[in-house]
Amino acid sequence: MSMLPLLALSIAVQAGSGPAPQTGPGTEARPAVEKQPLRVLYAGDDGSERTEAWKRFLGRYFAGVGTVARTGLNAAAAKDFDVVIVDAESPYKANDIEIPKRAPLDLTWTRPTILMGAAGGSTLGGLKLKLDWL
Amino acid sequence: MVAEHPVFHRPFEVSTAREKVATPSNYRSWPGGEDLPDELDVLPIHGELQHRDYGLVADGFGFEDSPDCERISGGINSKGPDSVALGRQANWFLWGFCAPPDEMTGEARKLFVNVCCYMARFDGQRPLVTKVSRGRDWAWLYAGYLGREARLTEFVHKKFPAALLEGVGDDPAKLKRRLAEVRPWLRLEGDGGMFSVDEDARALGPANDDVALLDRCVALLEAVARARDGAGAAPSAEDLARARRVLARYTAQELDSAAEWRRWLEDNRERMFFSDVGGYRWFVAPKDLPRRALSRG
Repeated sequence: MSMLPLLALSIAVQAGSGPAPQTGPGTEARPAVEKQPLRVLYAGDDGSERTEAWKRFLGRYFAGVGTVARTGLNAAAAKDFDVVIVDAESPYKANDIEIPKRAPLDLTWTRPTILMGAAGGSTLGGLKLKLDWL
Repeated sequence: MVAEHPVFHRPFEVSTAREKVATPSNYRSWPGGEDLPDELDVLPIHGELQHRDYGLVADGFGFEDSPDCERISGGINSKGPDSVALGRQANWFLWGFCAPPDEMTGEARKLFVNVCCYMARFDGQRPLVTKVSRGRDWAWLYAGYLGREARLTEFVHKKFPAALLEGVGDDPAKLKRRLAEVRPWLRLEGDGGMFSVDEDARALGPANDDVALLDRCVALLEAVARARDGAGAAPSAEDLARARRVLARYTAQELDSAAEWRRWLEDNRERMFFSDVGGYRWFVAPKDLPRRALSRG
């Protein structure tokens, strides 16, 4: 993938107030909530800080949480999960931009899948979905 | 933002509190952008990020022209106001934001959990169309480039046929008015091709994305059969040729007789949808397609 599409990416972020105090999912001091009866698979960068943060967060709200390296995501890895999340660390490195490797999925993939940020973009590349980046 | 969508309500109720942000200046050049207010109401998703990162938005033009798609929300972005930051196509969901959970607002975290719960119901689905073209609203964005600078004007001349540009000069408003006149019959060949006006469809009357056009074509074929039986006048050879071309162009079917076309049309009418993005043609949705969370008009 060339750099050009990356530089043309849209920024879909909204700067605003910081995390809300104790009002929703993800707040440490919040009393335990009833877990949703779903198994969620997070496909990110193995062992990264971000993966651990998502694992902790999802673990508070879902009955089952698993992780897998994004590049190793396949039907076998996802077979015991209800929803898959594809994500990655920030592509911005010290002096460079490194677009995350895509999850190797194609249009035969039928598992509910949430695509996030740069990893979502690279995974969408080539699938010709309407969700592909502008 | 589709505030009544289930992802804002189940299992967690996401607050309706909004903040005001200045409307991004880049939105103004997009179709409808000039009419936006000076400020937009937004649901904050995260604050300033600890690590630089970026989100994504998808093309909003034609996004919902297939029944497997839902545009749930835009997001402040460097493209345009119709872009999709939260959207679904079949079993795929775009969460266009990039913040890790500990940097998301409480409402955003609720929203994310809700999205996971909502998506579980789409297990086993596959997209009905792939993106092989662009929605016709892109024509208005391109028209706005006219006269801005030489390279953009040159680009516009590559996007529209000479007949559409004749007498327009460098006036984008004139081109937009002309586009409005022919909008029902616009087509775009491929993703990077040129917009054109389907003169066959225009001569027959109904818009190319109106099933009435197919009805008109099949009726012309049926009129031939009736005339053969001595009941009524036959259509002109020109109209008949147009009807056959239109049916082939917009349905991807290879049927022959009027009876076959009528049967196909009646068997599928309730499940048919026209997609610009899918290639400016009709598709037939499967019988078991889950309904959208919200109907669209």
